[in-house]
Amino acid sequence: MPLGREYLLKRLFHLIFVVFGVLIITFIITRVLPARPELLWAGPHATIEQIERARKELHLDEPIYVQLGYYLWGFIRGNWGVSWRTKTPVLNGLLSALPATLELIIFAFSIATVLGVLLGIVAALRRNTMVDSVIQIFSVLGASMPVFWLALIMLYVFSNTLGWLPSSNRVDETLVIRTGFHPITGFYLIDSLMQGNFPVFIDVLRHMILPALVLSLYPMGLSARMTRAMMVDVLHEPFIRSALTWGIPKKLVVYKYALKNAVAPVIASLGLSFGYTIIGAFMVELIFVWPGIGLYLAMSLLSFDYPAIMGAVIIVALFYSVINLIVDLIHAWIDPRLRL
Amino acid sequence: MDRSEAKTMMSEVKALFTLMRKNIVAMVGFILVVAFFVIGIISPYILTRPEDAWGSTFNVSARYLPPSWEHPFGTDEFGRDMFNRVILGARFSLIIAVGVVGLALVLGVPIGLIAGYSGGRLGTILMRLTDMFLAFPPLLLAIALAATLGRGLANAIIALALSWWPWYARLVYVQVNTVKNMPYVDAARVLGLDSFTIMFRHVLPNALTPVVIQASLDMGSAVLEAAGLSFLGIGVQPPTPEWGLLVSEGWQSINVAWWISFFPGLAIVTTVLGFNLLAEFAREFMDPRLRITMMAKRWFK
Amino acid sequence: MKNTILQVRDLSIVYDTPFGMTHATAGVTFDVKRGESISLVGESGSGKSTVGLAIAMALPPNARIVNGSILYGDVDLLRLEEDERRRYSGREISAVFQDPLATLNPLFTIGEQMTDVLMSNLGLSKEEAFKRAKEFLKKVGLTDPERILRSFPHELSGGMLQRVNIAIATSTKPKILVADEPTTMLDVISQAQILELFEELKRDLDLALLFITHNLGVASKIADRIIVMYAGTIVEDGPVDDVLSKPLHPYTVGLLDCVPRIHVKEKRLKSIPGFPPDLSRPINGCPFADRCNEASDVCRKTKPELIEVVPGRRVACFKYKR
Repeated sequence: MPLGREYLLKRLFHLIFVVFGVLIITFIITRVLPARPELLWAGPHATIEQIERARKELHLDEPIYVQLGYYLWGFIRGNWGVSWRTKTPVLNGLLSALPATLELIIFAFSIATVLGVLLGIVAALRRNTMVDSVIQIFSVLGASMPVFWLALIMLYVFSNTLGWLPSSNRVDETLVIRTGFHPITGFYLIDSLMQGNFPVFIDVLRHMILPALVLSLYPMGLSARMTRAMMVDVLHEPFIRSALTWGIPKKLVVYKYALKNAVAPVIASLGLSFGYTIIGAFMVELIFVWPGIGLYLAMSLLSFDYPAIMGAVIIVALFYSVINLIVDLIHAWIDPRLRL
Repeated sequence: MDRSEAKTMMSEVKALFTLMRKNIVAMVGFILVVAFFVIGIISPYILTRPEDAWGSTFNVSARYLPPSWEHPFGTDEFGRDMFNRVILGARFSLIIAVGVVGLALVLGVPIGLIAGYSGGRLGTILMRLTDMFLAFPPLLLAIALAATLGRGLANAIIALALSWWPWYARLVYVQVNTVKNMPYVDAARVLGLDSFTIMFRHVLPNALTPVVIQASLDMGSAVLEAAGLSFLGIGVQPPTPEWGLLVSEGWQSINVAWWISFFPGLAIVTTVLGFNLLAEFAREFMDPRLRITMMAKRWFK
Repeated sequence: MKNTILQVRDLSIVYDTPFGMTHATAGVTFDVKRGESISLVGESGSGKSTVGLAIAMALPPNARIVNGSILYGDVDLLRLEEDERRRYSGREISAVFQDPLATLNPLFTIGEQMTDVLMSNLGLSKEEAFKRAKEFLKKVGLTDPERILRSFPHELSGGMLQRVNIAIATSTKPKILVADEPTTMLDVISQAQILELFEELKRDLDLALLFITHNLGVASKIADRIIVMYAGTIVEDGPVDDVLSKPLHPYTVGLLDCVPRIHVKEKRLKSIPGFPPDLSRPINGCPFADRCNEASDVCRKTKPELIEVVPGRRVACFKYKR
């Protein structure tokens, strides 16, 4: 086992610590920071009784550490509050929206990373040529565009004007009924394949391609830029020059050695890149009416639905922490110097 | 700083501009950023239709006009000239950029300094605290804070700054740690300088330079994130012509008037692009090994 | 002449930097014979590393060959195409560098890197390469070669790493080995051990060694011949014992004077007054003229040629005639 039990345990403890930190910070934001937390919690149209009830539910009359205790206890037990917009518990709403977001993000992020790294390698190898300039401009542009703007433009061009692609939702409901499609995992691409339902599969792809492409542009730009930079960096390292001097052919040096050295820090940055993707997903889901957590959060923001907002924030933060852990593990697997 | 240090800095700056002139990318970035600053500062004074820009008009006859000579960026649903609104928007973006980065520096740098210089337990504790903040994806914490603190320009700046300071604290901490162990600090100590002087004259300038550079280049990202907040409705509020807000205002009418969302977004892209281009260049310049490759005719032997 | 395997002729190299051009070497000419060990000596900026890197075909990307050639047999190494160069890099000419940790890839095991070198250069299979790698690791004095092959560079000490580097470089049995200050970063004991290792390998493998150093003591121990460089030119060369006991060039004299002697009582450490010249400008006249206390007008105006004053010894100084 290359990573060693000690290292894994250390990382797990770190994760627990981080989760704890997230909860503490959100506690401070929701209970300590506001002057009257119960007002936020009960919503803008609450009656006096509802406000009073919120006060009791949040145990606001008790000392801080007691409040914190109830907060943590409520979190573990799944009592994350009730969304006054949907009148359903926040956790339920979030969990049902989760697969949609996951599918979109995973799809978009995979495209972004694979294409981004490839582009970065090509750009580095053809440094200072036309190809390099084009790729660099593309990556920098991708990293400079506001996701919501790009989404709107794409929607306008491809959906509203050209009519090539659908403008909202994950799948055409009438097609679902006609072909008898039913979700199993919540990942429609997988589910439709599992049921051998190709019309729905194609339809889901048609719905996903535009938001996924828009979402992938920013992380793709980041990956390409970083890969190029790292590749250029690495190619000037002493150990690359020595490998060449010792007679290892250039192709081997570049594609086996330099690549690994370059990719290692890029992998490390994937966590952050993923973070940007998550945030981008909020905007994209809002604009393409994609029924995921982003849409849930965006709608909650628009209607001041505070419990829902904070619930979404917590679940996203937790998800992000787990992703970071995975990324760190992969990084340590690649770079043996980190396995201390 | 004394004369020899000043001379070194001058030659560094000279080298910087020599390389920049050879590098189109850097030049373009530089021009864009300078343009952003200039327009941002003077915009209130160059508006041709200030009432439109500040949002106080409602001109029924001029609603939804497409781009033309008279209205280069068209008009919106209230008949307001978009060109003016976008120009004034630069000012707000500039305020946000400087405000967010500045506030984040004010919060983050001292913490990083204290953690780095005292090291040991205090340093570890402070950094653990910082790590807790870094567990949130960028902007998420800002969203939570903005939702709690309320809307508006000031709250948006505070929310963003509060989610940004950990980056600078961490950066400063790492820098101070690196510099602390540099031979020239030991040399200074051996020469008999007291801790305070060492800190201010030797550790600080060297540790802070990368941070300041990073912060300046981060202003582009600040603009981008603030625009995102405004788009989601929890940042700047109407009728302030902040670019993100303008895009969101144009969203409802996108099918009849694409220009309302298009041009403000384009402004964002151009500005952020400028900063990103400079950042690319700065990165290669800062690394002394890479600097030599900027002069090479062939890059790889 | 049949014995000569390398001929460096009139080598002039500049580096392009953001601050201008640096003239690293100017008109360097010398021969290397089979199995000969030469020490290239000089201070920082003398151009000694540049010469070594040029021979090893390991120059950085901003280096430009302005003039000159390096002939290996009848092939000019400086004017080879990429793929042709590979026939010589690693196989006929190899190199060991200064920082043993930086020249090894941190993400791959020693075994992986060594076997790749052997497989690429000698066309061996993986098992054959492994065997040979172990053989050479033993040759450089490392016990437990199997463990080393499995290790990553950061897991080994500096001395061990440098031995590994030497093993890699010599495992292809090259004819010429360039060693660029290989002991500078090691502690004194490792230094002595590595020097002994070089001597053994020299004998064993009939290797021509080009040993670059700024340390006269090291040079005297390892070399048959010594070449003294200053400001990019050769100022003196010849058999090491001759040059060090009876130095001809004022710079060499000064250098030797600087070495503190244990049995002589000295009040202050001696040094050569002045500074090396600015290499961003081509130099008129003898580069050492400013600091030479025997300099005359002709020294400042014309560059002295490197002439053979005695068979096997050359000096570039107007004090001497053929």
